[in-house]
Amino acid sequence: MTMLITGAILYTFTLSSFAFGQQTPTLSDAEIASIAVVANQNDIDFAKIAMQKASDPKVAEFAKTMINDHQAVIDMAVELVTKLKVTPKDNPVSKEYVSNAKKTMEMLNSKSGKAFDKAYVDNEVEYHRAVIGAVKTVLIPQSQNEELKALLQKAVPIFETHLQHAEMIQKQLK
Amino acid sequence: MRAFLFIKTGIFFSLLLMLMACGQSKRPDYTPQKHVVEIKDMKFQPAELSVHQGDTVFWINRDIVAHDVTEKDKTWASPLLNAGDSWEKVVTKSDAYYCSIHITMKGELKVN
Repeated sequence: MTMLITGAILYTFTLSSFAFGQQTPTLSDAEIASIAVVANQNDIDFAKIAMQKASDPKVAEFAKTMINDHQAVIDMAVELVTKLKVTPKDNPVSKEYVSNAKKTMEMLNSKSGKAFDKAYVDNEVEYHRAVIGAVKTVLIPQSQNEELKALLQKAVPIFETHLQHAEMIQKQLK
Repeated sequence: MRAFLFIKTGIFFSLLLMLMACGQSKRPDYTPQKHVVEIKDMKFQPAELSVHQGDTVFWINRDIVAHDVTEKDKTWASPLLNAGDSWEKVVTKSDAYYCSIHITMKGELKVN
């Protein structure tokens, strides 16, 4: 339980402070592209664990959707940066995302059965809330390239639909 | 008495069949129309569509993720619609539908 709360708070705190705090960094398009790819890849990695460990078919089905949808966003991002000749650049924010994701995956791997389902879905709710906040308040406003901005804007309703879906499953699991 | 009951039942079902036939007949002066529902920004647009029986509804996926169009009780469903794919169906009755991949996405066809 403690690990679950820690995992959820980790994302809420880190991404919220990134989005709303005084330490909001100034990001280049190359850094924004890197954060976008990492944020999507993290959720694919969480979903891959869920595909192996979920006990409820609804949770496994949701995880499969996360893999397909977030991969589609990554594919679009890679296509765009290739076209723009921009190389995604690691930065303190993207590195922190990777580091936090490792802790979340450790937490998920320590669970099984219904406890895993709950931990995965709770994390999905918190993670999507945090990423939506960061994309809306930092990544979109700071994007210089209009096509990158448009891609991020296109991703927001996808993430919002994922959040609604995760919240629906979260209620059903209670 | 049994024969009377048999005749009454026969008349009842004959009338019922006639009524059903009338309900399904199309207006002779009506040319079926084609309607477009865009699947865009994770929504069916328009989410509610009024059509006439026999009209065709054409769904096209403008999103970057895959969707489908599934009747609420799964009596009919489109194949998987990847980005840019489309599918159409002749409408025979009012139906509610959703995307079985993103279950919060809902739409409705209302036959006038």
